[in-house]
Amino acid sequence: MHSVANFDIHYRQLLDAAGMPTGEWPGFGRDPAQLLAMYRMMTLCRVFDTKAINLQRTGRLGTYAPCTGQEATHVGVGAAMQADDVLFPVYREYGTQLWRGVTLAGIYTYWNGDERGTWFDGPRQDFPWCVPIASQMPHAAGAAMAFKVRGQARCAVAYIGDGGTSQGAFYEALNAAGAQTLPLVAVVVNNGWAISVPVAEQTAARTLAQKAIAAGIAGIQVDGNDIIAVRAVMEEALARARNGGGPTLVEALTYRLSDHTTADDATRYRPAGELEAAWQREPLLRTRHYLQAHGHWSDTQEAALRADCQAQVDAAVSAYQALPAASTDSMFEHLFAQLPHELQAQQASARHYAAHKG
Amino acid sequence: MFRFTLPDLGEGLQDAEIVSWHVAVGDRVAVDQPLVAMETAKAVVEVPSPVAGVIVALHGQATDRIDTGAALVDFKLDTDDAVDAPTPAPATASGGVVGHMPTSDQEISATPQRSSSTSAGARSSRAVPAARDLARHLGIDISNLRGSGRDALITVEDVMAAAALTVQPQGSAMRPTLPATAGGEFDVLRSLRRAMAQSMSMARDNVMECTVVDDADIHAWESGNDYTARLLRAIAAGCRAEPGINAWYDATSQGRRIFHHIDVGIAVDTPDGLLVPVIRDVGNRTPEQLRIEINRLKVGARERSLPASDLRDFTFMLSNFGVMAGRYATPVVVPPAIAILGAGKVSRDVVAVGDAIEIHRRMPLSLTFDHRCVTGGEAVRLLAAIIVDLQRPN
Repeated sequence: MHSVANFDIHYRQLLDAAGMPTGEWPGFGRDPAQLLAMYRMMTLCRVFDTKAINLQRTGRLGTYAPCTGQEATHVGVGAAMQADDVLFPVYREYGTQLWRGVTLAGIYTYWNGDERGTWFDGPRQDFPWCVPIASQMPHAAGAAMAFKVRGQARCAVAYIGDGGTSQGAFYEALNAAGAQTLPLVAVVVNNGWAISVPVAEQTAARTLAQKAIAAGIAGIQVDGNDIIAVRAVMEEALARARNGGGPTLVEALTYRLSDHTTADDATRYRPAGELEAAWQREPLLRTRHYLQAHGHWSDTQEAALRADCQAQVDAAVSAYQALPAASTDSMFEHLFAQLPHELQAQQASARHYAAHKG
Repeated sequence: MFRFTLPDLGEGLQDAEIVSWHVAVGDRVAVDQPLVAMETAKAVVEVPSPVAGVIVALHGQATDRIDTGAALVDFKLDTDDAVDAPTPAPATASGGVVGHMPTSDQEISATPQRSSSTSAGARSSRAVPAARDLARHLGIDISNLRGSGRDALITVEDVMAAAALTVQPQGSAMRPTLPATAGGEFDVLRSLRRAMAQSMSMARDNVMECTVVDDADIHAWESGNDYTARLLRAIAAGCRAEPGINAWYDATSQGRRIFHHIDVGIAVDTPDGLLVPVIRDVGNRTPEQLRIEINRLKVGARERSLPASDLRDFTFMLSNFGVMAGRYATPVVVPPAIAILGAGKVSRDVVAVGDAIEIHRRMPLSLTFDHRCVTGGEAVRLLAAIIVDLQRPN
């Protein structure tokens, strides 16, 4: 008997939890302007997120899925993508979307139950939030196939959570992308918890990145709280995909510092101490430590940034709250080119009641 | 003044319970400053202030249940900050998301909402869709229910109460569902009785109970035999014959955890309710040791002085109910244990011995087992081994 194949899973970290560089940084890492742009965006995400929870708690937003703790993955992925790539988000990757031009007010609008929030101001080609688990993966593989057929140098970037990797659609999409060398980069945001199921109970696999092996594609694990490493790994994966090198599965190791959604209470299932330990590894602090240690940032600038983010968020809150209610017809729009008969009848009925009740 | 009404803190929740206030009347608060911790069916959440201003009134105190949409806090707004006030109508949007709770705030009216009937017997049949759906599944006619929600809205809890499911959200108060006109004195279940209500409901909802009865002929007993000690020894003998019954059943992983030590919980009747202290490792104790332990636990149970460690993790249960009356019963298996033996009143019975008639003392036995994981064969072999041991002279 002899071995016929061997595989390794590599892990990349370039900025440790204390803010110390741990490897050779790519070009953008030596450009303070680029680092500051990413840090500002991560901070905006944090302020936006905190406000969103308060809005839900005071009846001004529907159920909301927070992103606190995962900003480095989200912003790092966004910064590595090109404008004409297509994003397939799950439902909390606001950092990527904001980087790509989605507005704060648009995100609030969506979470207030108004689909107009998915009418993205910036990246029109990006897909909307995907609440069902893993169904975005075949969509992303399909988009990647379209780019290949058209001969376009574009990539599909699909997010999925650690729990989502147990879904059949995840494997199907990876397999198709591998078999056909599609320009797809799948980003598994491993935040430790699929609602209340910890990763250790989700799978017997030691890493989620190794799920790439069966699909015959590249797989790599990255410190998801390290924005330098996330962006570096993503830039490499996207360049490979764009040049016909096929798909990559990136597992970003991060932590959900929030509840799953505002309808969840993680204290009911998360072991004591785990959250406190995770706060020691969170992404904003280490980035700020690095920036301050190298003279690119100061406490004064931090205070000014926080105030600026708060002002942007407050303006977004005013904007989405000032939005007139959606029309009754809007629930019938955008689904069919020609509305089926049953829905025509329902639309007539809805219009009737809307007119009488207001 | 600005009145802040309790928003839907989850997805389609009808109410929430005040855990504790962080502010008091007269306090000046900023936007997003925490006001109160509220417990819903799913979570304890911090509710922040939607406005900047001075607290004029707090509607309710700790443990009070507040309906969604009911007044929570009144503020006197800072005039120059008033612009921050939210629109008065709370947003009711709810994006469906993973972990979604299948209830809704939407009301469906089965009867005209402005019914002219205002007699005491008038019943509402307005129900949230989830309650309506549950009622349909359980075969409950909601027109007979009295809604406890906002404007007599029938809630899921009302339907469950009607179905006597007695499912209580953690930390919530017991809710009488009888009409107020029922008369009598309402005796709220407390402590042990409430625990009993919950564990019995759990047992009923989870265990597939099956009971088999027989008698042990104890005519041959020498004087000085100790009933409870003999029963414990017999249980140990039974469990040695059928080790798979000295176990816990885990329905989630569909397995049973079989124990080598036999820890028998003994049901003790106290004025406050049922207690089940546990005698550990009965298979390796002498009758004298068992008696000392039985006495200690009985005294401790009556005085309510037993530590929690004496009251949990039994692997088999014994109910020696026949001290006063009662020959056979259907004792209730309390999960995760899977069997309970009930011993009824010993009586002098006419029995056939060979072809002759004799009068023997006999102990009636009732064994209930969880048929999800115990076969009838296992149960009767266990019972047979118990009887053989009980029938020994000493």
